[in-house]
Amino acid sequence: MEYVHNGGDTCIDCRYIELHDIYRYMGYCEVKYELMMVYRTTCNHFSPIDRGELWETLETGGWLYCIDCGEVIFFTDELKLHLDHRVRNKLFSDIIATEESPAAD
Amino acid sequence: MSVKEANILLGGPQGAGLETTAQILTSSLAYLGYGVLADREYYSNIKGRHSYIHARISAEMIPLSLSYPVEIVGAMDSETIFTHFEDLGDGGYLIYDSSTDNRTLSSIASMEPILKNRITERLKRLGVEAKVSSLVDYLASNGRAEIVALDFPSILDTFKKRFEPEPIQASRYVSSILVGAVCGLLDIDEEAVKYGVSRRFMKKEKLIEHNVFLVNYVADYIRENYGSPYKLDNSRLSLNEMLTVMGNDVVAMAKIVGGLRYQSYYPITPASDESFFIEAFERLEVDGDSIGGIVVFQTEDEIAAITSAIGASLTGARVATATSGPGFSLMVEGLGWAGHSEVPLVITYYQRGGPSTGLPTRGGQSDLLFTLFASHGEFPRIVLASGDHIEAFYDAIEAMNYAERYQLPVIHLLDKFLANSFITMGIPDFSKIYIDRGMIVEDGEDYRRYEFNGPISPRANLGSKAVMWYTGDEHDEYGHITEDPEYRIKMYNKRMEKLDLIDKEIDPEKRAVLYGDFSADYLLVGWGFVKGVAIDSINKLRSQGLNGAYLHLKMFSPFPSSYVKSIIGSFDSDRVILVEHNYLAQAGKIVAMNTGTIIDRMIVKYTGRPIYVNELIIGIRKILEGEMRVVLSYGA
Repeated sequence: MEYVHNGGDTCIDCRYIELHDIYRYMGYCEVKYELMMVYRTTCNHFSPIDRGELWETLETGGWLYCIDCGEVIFFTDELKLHLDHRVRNKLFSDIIATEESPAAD
Repeated sequence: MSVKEANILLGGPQGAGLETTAQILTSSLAYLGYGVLADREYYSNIKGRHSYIHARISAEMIPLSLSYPVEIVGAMDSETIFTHFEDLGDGGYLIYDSSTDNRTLSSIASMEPILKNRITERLKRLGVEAKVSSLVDYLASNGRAEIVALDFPSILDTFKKRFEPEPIQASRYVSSILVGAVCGLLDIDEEAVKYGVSRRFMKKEKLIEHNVFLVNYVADYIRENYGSPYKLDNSRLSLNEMLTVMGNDVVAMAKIVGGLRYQSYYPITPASDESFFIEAFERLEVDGDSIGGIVVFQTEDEIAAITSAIGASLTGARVATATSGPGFSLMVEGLGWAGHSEVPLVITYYQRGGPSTGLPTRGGQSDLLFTLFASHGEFPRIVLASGDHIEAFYDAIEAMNYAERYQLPVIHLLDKFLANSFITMGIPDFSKIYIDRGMIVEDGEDYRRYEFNGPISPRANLGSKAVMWYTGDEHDEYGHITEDPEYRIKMYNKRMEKLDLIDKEIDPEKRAVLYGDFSADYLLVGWGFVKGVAIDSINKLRSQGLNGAYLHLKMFSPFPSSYVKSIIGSFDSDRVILVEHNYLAQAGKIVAMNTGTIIDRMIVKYTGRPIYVNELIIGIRKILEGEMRVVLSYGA
């Protein structure tokens, strides 16, 4: 991705952050209800995503999304290909696409 | 130091603020009286794929066409930099998000592999690593470009310290960074920015405040650090009022002004926006008084769209339907019914890249032959094509007049290039507008819908005192079915003679327009949105000593045969060049069919992207040097 992870506990790796689906340097914080610049911010609510939980999340939720590859993951075999990537089960969409997308097929 | 004109390209992910960027900039520039033409290129997905706005801004005229290279490339994401770095002219400005410096080409998931491979090869040849920072360094070190590196997250952080951003508006803030950078380079003042932002966000005060701040914050930074290298001359356009509109909007406005009362559609790119626009004005008011309404009906498919429009027309409403190629394919049987039953009907046809689903969000002119020959049997139709936004306005009204005056289907041909491009234009001249509803009768006494008193019979509406029959079969004067051979000839002739009448009544010089004169060294022949680029290319070449002319074909049925033949015949055949957005050079086939004159030199483009001045000039030169056919391909 755009940023080299600094190894600190920045919002990008926090379970409470819903990353923006297009501009991934932004995210919505479910605790603070704020827009965060996720690679540079942190707070005392930080709670890292447990990668081990992803397998269970995939099973219960049915899908995950690899931010690095821009791919939806439906099966555990697929998840194995993204173990080193940023994988999420929630993304944040703003309202702009509904206004700006072509209105038909 | 200031400039008369600037060309810019702004790119980013589809559905993430680019449209907002274009609208704010166009409105701000219109506020200052500049002419703007901005084309929007986008993929046929909902969100995330690469889209871009390519604009030309002029202090002297309303631009007619676009050209490369551009002076400014503004990138909302790294994909834009990789895709468009060669579109930037020497010494131009690249605005980009420096927080993406480590991004590699291979990591861009939204880019098609075929394009990724092509860019990878290109970068290899240039000796540049396929990474944003390397590419930016390459551009800077060769003096090819000035780099405006903005750290988008830092700017947004600064913004956050002052305001509380609304998360659901997140992409807006990104687009305002880009707007600010462009405003800085062009030196667009704060008042114009405020106007542009306010117009875009209407009464959302908080959003206006946030975005005005962001735009001005970035613009000030740019002015301070880079100056305003493309500060525009004061506008010399003498327009008191301007419209900032897309082609779809212009046609919608024209239909409303022209008295439309029923519009049907099934959603399709690039036609739908026209119907949405009309829908917003369904209830017509003048100075607070209701003057009626327009029914906009979204049907279950295009078959229902055309047949419901036919039904509405038979009741006396002024009607139209809007569609694109795949929709028109479904309308064909209804078209024949309307032609046979002499029903006034306008089909506004926005061409896109076909066949089949083809390139749904790209442009093309490959449906001309289809519109002329669609449906079985013979019946008269008018096929009218518009070359620019202003023409489209008047033509949309004229199409409704023709449909009712001659009681037939009129196909108004437009294309995606026109439909989806923004333009600033003056207010149309309302003194040029008239409404002709044709021959209408109320009296029901011995009413004969298809009376043999000439090609046009008096038209009564369903629901009036008159009684009439519509079947789709051959009929007598009342509309009753008949297979009598003598009646067949009379009724057939009555319908088809409309073409002769139209040919006689509508001035050929209105149906084909010559720009330039007979002393020109060469003649370009084109139609639709080719008009602007043809005229601009001719003007450029004139300054290089080559004098050209352009024959703009507007009406293809009935075709102004003698007039066109006389013009083309005035030039040496090796100096007449077709310019079209299709493979066959379809208008050339129609010219040959109607005049016997074969034009065998052609410049064509069928990538779905517009023809640009830079490539058309090269094409013209190649033809004049002896090539017979040039295929253009510029544009991402």
